[in-house]
This record gives sequence, structure tokens and C-alpha cells, in this order.
Amino acid sequence: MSQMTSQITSQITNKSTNQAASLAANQAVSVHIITDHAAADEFALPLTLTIIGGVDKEGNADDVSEVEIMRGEIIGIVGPTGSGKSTLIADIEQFALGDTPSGRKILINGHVPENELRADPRKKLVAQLSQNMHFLADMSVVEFLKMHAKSRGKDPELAEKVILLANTLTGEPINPVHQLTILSGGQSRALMTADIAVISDSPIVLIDEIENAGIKKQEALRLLSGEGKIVVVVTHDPMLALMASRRIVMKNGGMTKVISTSEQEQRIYKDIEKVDGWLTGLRETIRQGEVVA
Amino acid sequence: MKMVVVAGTPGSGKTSVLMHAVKDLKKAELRPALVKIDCMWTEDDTRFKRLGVPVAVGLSRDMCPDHYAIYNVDDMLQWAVDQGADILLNETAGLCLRCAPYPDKALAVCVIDVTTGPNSPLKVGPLLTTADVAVMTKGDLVSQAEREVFRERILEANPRCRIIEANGLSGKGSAELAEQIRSWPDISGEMVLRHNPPLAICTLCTGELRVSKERHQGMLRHLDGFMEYSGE
Repeated sequence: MSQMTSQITSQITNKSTNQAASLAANQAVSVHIITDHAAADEFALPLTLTIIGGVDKEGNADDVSEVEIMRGEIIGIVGPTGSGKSTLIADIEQFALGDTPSGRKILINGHVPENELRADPRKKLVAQLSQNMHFLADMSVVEFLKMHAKSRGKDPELAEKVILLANTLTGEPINPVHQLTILSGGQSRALMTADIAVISDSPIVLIDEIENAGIKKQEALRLLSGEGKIVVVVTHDPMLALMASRRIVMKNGGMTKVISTSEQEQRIYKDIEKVDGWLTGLRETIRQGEVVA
Repeated sequence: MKMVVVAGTPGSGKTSVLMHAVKDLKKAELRPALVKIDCMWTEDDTRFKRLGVPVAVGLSRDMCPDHYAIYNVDDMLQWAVDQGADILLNETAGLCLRCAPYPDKALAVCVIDVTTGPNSPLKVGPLLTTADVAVMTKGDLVSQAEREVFRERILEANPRCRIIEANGLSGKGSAELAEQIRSWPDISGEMVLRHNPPLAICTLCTGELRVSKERHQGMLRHLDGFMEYSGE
């Protein structure tokens, strides 16, 4: 398999030069944002997130009794549709205390988090990009973002920055005065991603199937992860799964095992990355109405 | 005896949220009894009965459902005592947004659906502004940002309320609601409503069917905001 992919990638070297140029253009904005993360991190405390096992859909105990995730780690959640991946993400998002159907508990720095950390957006430790692809709010883009900044105790002027950043992730640019409800699925997801990077800048980031979002997934992941964060990614995508240092395997609602990404898998990841770059280039060419050479 | 009044727009998830909270209250060895008020028809009592708690239904029929609920508070409390209960849970019909059927000493819970959009907390009126607890439902259907904006709007309408993010399907948030109920003081003495009801009665209340303007009497408000009293 890895031989095959390197053959393909050698054929596409020319194409990737163009792509590198467009990526560099996008990075102008993203680098700026990551600097903000670094500044915020100077004041942040050490952070660990612990998942204490609960039960699967039949009420049997999780095979994995405990997972401890450290700052700076990207961890994947994998498993078939309906296996409980989104439920696990929801447990983490609400800092479950054994009060959700899974019975799992989430600890921060080894302790049950205070109620304020669970509820108040100004103190929230978790930013979440869910699978929801559309907004239901009857407000304009800029009005909504300003309101969201206010709810998180941030400067409303960040709204402009969010829109600028979102427009690097999506094809057709988002107009600030348009109603949220007319945005396409890809535009909505790009806006949600940029909103998390800029406004909901939190030390724990939960991402649910970003590969289905119709946006540049690697760019998006880089924006969301930042420096020294805990990133939990639900994914079916081999590249995103292998980008993680470990992955929790879900089955029938339960956590069945935790796999550490092997050196062999890390090598394969490099190959997938090249193939993915090639496919992304082709996709862009076709989207732009050009002919694939 | 504690009293809890649960209000909210139809379909917001009052019954589902309350069902999960009843389970939690039972786990805490409390004895809730439930009265469901509706206008014309309900089958929520069969859902509640499965939980093994005393359930009664009140259909307001031709009377205003909020007035009906308020008028029957004494009877509901007596019924709950007869059932050996220590908490009376009253789920209202939740229709008119002009009044709020909350007695001052009851725990006032407003259930509000996030998918109705961030302007809805401003439209709900006294149902939300005089509540002690606002329960946000269906949050799993929108993004985190939209949930947080909605939350901000609730606090604009009612800065004192405690917000609980709940899910009627999974039971999320019900433990927190049960804890609010458990720690709420018992009712005592005479109770008064938290908010004044609409002005007087109108000709529709007395059965007028004709639309034409000259047929209507009482406190009348025109489209341009002009108010007048027409009648004897």
C-alpha cells in the first residue's frame, strides 16, 4: 500500500507547488490566530482530562475503565456509525458526573469540576464543533458573532476577525450582513470553526467529523488545535485518525480499547498526507471549473 | 409540601424534562405527585403513570388554562397531601405568553426550546422573566455557539434565573433540576401571583364570535397602540 501511494505522489509533485502557494496565503491569517493561543497559554494551568468508564448501550461496563489525556495531545474517537462516538463527545462537553445515560465521569486535573465550569460560557474549558451543519438563529452573521463574543466575555470586535478567517476555509465568501440561515453547509461549518478558533478559544477542543464539513479539514484542524490544547477528534478519516497519538475505539456504545498510533502507522500517515494533498488539489481544480491536467 | 410550576411553550419538552426529573426525585427518596393541566386533550398522564407516581389530569376546556391552574391550586395541594406526596409538580398547558401561572412561593420553571431561535427569550415574556429556573432544551440540534448566544439572551430577559441545559431524550440536566427542586423551601401561608394577569375580561371571553370592531368591548388596544375602554 505504501509503495503504491509513493508512486502516486511522485506523479503529482508539480501540482503541489501551486497548492503550497495557496496554503501559504491562508496561513497568513492562521499564524496570527495561533499567536493569540500562545499568549493565552502563558496564563493557563497544567491540564489533564480523565474519562472514567461507564456502561455501553446494554449496561455492560466499558472495557476501558479510564483514559487520561494530557495537554498538547490529539486523541481520536473511532468506530462504526451508531457506536457511541458522539455520545462520548457529549459526555466530555458537559463534564458528565455519572448523570448521563453512559454513566461516565469526566475529571479535570483529577477532580470533579465545579458547576460553574460546566455551565458558564465565560469560564467554559470546552469548545465544541458538533456535526450540526446549519444555524437556526434568525440573526445576521455579524450580529450573531458579536452576541457570541459577549456571551464568552470577549471583545465584540472579534466578529470581523472570525469572518475573515472563515473565508479562508470556504469557497464562496460569507457576507457579514447576510442572515445566518441562508449560509450553505460548508459556509456554516467554516464560520463555526473560525468562531471556535477566535471566540471560544478554550483549552479543550472537541471536533465531531470535520471531514464531512465541505471545508479544508487540515487547515481547520490546525486552527482549532493551537498550542498546548487537548483535542478530541471523532473521525472516520484515516489521515485525521492517524494524526492523533491515540484513538479510543467505540462499539455498541462502549469504549472497547485504546490504540496508540504505531511507528508504522505514522509512516503511513505521511503517505496519506501526500495523497490527500493531491486529492485536495484536484478537488479545487474541478471546483474552480478548470480541467484536470 | 413543596410546589413546582413548570411552564413553557407547547412542544418545548416540558413533559420529557419533567419525566427525567421525577426519576431523579424518586432516587433521592422524595415523593412527587404530578398534575398535568391541558386545554382539550392530553395523554401525558399515561407517560407519567409508568413512572409509578400519583398523576392527575386537569382539562380547562372553556376556561383560560392558566386561570384554571391558579384557581385549582388549593385543590391540587390537598390532592397531593392525600396521595402522601411531599412535592406537587404542576405542568401547565403553556399557551398564552401574556401571563405566568407562578405563585410566589412555588419554584417557577420555564422550559424553552433552543431551536426557536435567539429572539424567542425576548418574546416569551413573564413566563421567562419571572421564572427561577430556565431549562434550555434541544441544544443538541444547534452549534455550541448558538447555545451560548441563546443562553445570553435568556440572561438578558431574566438576569436572576438559573439556566439548566437539558435534553428530554437523554435526560441530560434532569439531575440538576431535581436538585433545584429538592433544595427549594416548602410553601407556607397565602400565596400571590408573581405577575399581573392581562387587563380584565374581553368580549371573546364572553362568547362573541363576530369579528367587526363595533362588536367588541372592554379594554381595547388598536394597532397604533391607542388604548381605550369601551362599555358600561
